[in-house]
Amino acid sequence: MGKATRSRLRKLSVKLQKQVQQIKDIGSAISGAIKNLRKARTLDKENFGFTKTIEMNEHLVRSALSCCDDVKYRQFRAGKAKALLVYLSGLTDTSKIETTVIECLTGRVEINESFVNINQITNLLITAANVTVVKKPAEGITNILKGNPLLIIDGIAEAVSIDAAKYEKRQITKAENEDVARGPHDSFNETIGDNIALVRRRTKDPDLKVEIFEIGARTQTSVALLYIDDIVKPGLTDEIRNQLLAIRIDKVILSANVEEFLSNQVWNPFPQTLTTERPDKVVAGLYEGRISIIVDTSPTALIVPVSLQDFMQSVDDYTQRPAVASLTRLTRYFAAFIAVFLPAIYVSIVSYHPGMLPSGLAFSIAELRGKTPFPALLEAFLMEGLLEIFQEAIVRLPQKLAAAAGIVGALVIGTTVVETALVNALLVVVIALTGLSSFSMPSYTFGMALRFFRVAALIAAAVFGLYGIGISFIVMVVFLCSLHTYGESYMGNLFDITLIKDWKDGVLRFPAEFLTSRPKRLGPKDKTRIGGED
Amino acid sequence: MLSKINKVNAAKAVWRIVVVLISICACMLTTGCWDAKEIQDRNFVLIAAIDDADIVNKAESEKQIAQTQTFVQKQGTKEYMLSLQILKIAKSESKGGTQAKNTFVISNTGKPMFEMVRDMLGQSSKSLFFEHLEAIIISEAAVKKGGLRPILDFFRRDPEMRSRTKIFITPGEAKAIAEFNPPTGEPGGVYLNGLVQNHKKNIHVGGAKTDVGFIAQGMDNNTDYAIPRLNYIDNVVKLGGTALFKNDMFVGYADEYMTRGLKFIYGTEKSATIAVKCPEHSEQEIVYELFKHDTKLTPHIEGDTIYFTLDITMQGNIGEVNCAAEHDTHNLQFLHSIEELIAQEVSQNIQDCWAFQQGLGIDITNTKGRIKAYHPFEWKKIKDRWEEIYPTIPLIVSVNVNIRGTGEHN
Amino acid sequence: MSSWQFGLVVTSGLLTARLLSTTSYIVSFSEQFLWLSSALAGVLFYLAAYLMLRLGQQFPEETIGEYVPRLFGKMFGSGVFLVFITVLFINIINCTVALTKLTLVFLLDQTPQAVLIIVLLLAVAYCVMQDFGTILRVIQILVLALPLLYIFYSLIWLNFETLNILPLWPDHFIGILQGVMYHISYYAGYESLLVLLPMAKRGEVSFARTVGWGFLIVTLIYVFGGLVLVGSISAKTIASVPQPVVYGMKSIELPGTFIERLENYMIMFFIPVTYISMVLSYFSLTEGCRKYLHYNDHRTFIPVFLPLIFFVSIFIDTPERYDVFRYFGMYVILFFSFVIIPILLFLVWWKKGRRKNAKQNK
Repeated sequence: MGKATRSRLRKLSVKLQKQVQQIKDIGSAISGAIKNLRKARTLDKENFGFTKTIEMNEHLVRSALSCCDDVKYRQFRAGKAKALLVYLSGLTDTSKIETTVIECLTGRVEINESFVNINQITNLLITAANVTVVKKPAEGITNILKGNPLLIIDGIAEAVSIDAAKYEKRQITKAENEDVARGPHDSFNETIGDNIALVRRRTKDPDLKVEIFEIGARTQTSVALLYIDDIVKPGLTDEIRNQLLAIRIDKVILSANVEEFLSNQVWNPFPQTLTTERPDKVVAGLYEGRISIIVDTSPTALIVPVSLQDFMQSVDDYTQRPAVASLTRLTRYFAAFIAVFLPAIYVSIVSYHPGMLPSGLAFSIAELRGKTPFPALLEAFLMEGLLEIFQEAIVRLPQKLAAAAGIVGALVIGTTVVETALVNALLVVVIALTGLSSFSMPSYTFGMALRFFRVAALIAAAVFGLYGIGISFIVMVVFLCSLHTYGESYMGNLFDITLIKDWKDGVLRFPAEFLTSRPKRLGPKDKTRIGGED
Repeated sequence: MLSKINKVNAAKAVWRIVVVLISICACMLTTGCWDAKEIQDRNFVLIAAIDDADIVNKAESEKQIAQTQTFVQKQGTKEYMLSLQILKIAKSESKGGTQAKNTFVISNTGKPMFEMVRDMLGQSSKSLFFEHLEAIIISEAAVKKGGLRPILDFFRRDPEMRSRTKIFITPGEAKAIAEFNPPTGEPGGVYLNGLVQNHKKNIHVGGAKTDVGFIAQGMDNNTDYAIPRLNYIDNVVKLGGTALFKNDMFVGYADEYMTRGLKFIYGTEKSATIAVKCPEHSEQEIVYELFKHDTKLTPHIEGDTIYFTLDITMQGNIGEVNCAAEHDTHNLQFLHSIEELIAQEVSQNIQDCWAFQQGLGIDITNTKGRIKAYHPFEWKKIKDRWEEIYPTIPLIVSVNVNIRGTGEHN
Repeated sequence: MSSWQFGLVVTSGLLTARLLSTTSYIVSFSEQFLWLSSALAGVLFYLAAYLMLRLGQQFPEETIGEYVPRLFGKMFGSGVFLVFITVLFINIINCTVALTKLTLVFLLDQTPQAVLIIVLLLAVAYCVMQDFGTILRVIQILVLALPLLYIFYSLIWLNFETLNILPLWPDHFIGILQGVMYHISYYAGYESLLVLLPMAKRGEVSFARTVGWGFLIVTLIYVFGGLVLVGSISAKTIASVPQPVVYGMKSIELPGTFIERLENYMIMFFIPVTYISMVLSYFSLTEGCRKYLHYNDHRTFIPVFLPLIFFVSIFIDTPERYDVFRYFGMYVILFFSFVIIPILLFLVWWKKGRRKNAKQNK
């Protein structure tokens, strides 16, 4: 070949490559446009709807659920018209579809019958327990993804969504984190239907209202709002409903995702909703005038509004005798105080005020501490850190090593640290007591929040001694009283004298015959517990 | 959009607050903590012993006081020698063997107590910590020199001091008692503290109102007070009798018998023993153990005469009968006769004590205060002549003794 | 705020740490009749509070900063308001200095007083930054320290001797009356009711009764407290000790328990009790200023007054400056409570009478 030919060939190949590149660009642009179009079709509920031709409808559905190989398309004939059933194989009860849809439409229909109206099918032929008529493909696709198959009939511009969802779910078992000595042992599982059923089992009150929303732009998780209509404070339900509907988030997979949007002070460590796995707690809260939120795929229900007293109560208080229960509650308040302030008190007495110890104790503590090298504050921080690491390790330890964890804890923290004279034995006792007290809180999140303040109190005690502890206690009280949840102060109603009737179930628990009124601080419409409709 | 901006600003503000807080905490923890001193970095002072420096001087065969036990001072003289017993914090566990001494003594001479204490920091590796001061021992010679006020002023004034530190007066040398190592193994100060705490059962020791706080109160009120006496001879310590003070000056000792009389008048003991001679066998004694004791000392003024009445009711058991074989202790008549003997013994004791007080011219039982309290108007009249009137006031005693039981054996 | 809460709030500000150092001055005048002068002072100061209540109830929606300038002209009104503010200032500064001095002498040793004052003032400012509902609830929780304080203090009864209290018949009344004047530090703190009154709702019980009950309880605490204090450490000792209440607590010994140094526990309980009084005074200060200058929010005035309080508290640490300040404060407060308020009441009464006459004459 001549030089000219080769250069011409080269120019041509360059041109060819450019054009191939252009075609590729155009192709990708077109597929991108198709994708956007498809998204527009599936998300925008306004302009696109089902048409009368089944091919078009099928195309709409197939394009939205492209590459989803677990979606099954069952074509059959219903009389004269072609029919299509679209369902998700893992979430649908196929035997139910067979008996309630396919058999009805294929077996009991004349071969020449035609359908004009969807109601003919839903009212007369389909024997499923619940059907919904769907006009927009987006709704139908969401229903498919929920497990409810979609029935499309040729010649009708609407589709039918049939309730036939069935999926593997956890059995109703004991509450893992909130087991009580005496009382019911069933707890919520991850299915919203079962959870609402557990609540309904406990009350046959027609005033218990259940509102279900879909929250989460992509996950479309069902969230249920439960309240007793004629007890709850007027305006509270609207406020909470508005807050729920205003949540802009793409996924809701834990109830904590919803919980964070319900509080108005996001930086404070104290929980502002009560989370529980027990349906009896939910029902008790509902009857005090509170509102409960149950989130699908999460076994914890939320109860709002709450205050400090509600975090220090447990079901055991109401199943034991009143005198015993009151003493237990007082012990819990005392344990909360110890959990925050005991290391601080230790540091302040040992470093600042050894005169407050009796002589014998002072001398023996001095001897103990004579052997260890660290100042009191550093020792306390070291042991705190060790305790926190140990707590984290225990939670994540594999099953087989769990038994060994006790030995590791006792050895590492208890004996060995003392024997190597890193830390004196009294401090180990102090830290162990602190740890135990913070675990004795009925609510896990509340116990974690107390840890936060422990460090602050420790630093205050290390700088100012007992004065620091006094000031930090006061600042903590002010902080807790300044938290508001839905108009109710967090700690302020503990000793408010206008709410003196509420004291009967506050720090002490009076016998049931005295607890005749609902808590005044929640502003219920129906103030007394006794009596029916009026 | 606006809400997003607000949220971002709020987050920034919170972050700034957190940073400021952390930096303040860091500053306070590193350069602050002005008063933090670990408990093992303090030297616990258990006993403060005050001697007359000249006598101690002379006892060390007239040689110069060692340089380590004195310091150059411009104001004040070298009157007192202060010795402090300090706790030794045992670093290692010494088990078995001889009793290891767990205290040591450092001394200094001077006059203002505060100066001596601060100078003694030159002998101590840690700061001296007085909050657990258990006992103050003052030698008789030291207290005869200038009275009690110059010695006790430092212990009254410093806020670190306790108000229930026990005081002792000793006729010998106080430093020796500070160096004494009690056989029980506890530190010396704790041992001496425990000695006085038995005053409720030991009627020869006065201990109810003899702590630093009460002595300070007596000083403010210009009353006369008593301080227990501690004897130390040949490595044995014994508490018995009291030292009497008038106008903060040492006046004399009340021996055990007189102390017993004082305690009967005050009624501060919970239990006491009174021994009487058996009416039929004069070499044997019968001992009465007192359980409950009510006294009432009231002044009466009728016209120009002042007299005091003392009503005592005693209840108790028979403690010891040396001639039990010859007596039937259930016999009511026998018991009554014993009761009368005891009442007589008590009454005699009290009268002796009263006369003793008046003889010395001191007023431990606070008769002055009682007259002022119960008869304020008459007190105004006789206030100026009190010194002459006091020795003439009689005391009328009436004792009522009840024997409740005879113990385990008949 | 209900009327019972109002009574509780106003009287919880009465007992502060100031009483600790003035007891010795009072006893130097009234000797062992501390209890009697406390009782008389209680009646006297309740009278002042009652007059303030009557004055405030004439104008149910306004505070003193508003109706006095409105009725009596700007100059007079500003003058009265300035005296009111000075009274509140003096309360706060006295509380600060008393509490920090107490802590400094008994709990700590070398910490500079300025640091303690800063920490205390910051804590007070943090509380005053909240709205009044929160402050009310904080007070209701912290006031529980008061009975605990009194229970601890009652341990002094273990050392009680009747001889120190007698004779019961006072022989010079003048001394007792002089002592009554010094009781201002026992009972001052009720001036904040002039600002708090518009916030309270009148219920079935009148304010005079609820405040009266509060004063009665506080007076009883003082009477029995004074009785036992003189009984356990005699009057002469109290007169020569700078902090007699703490000194009395020192003399208690509880053998067999491991509680020692009981005065430290008592000082710990004094911190919330004094804190309440400071918060109330500071809140009344900012709220009064806000209403006087017609602002929206009381929080704007918090940083205005803090530096002034801090510097004055530091300035008066030598004994002579402190004495001058104490006397100045005493006279200003007495002047305000017993001269200005009756005059105002009389003037308001007079004006009302004139208006009524004018109406009748028409």
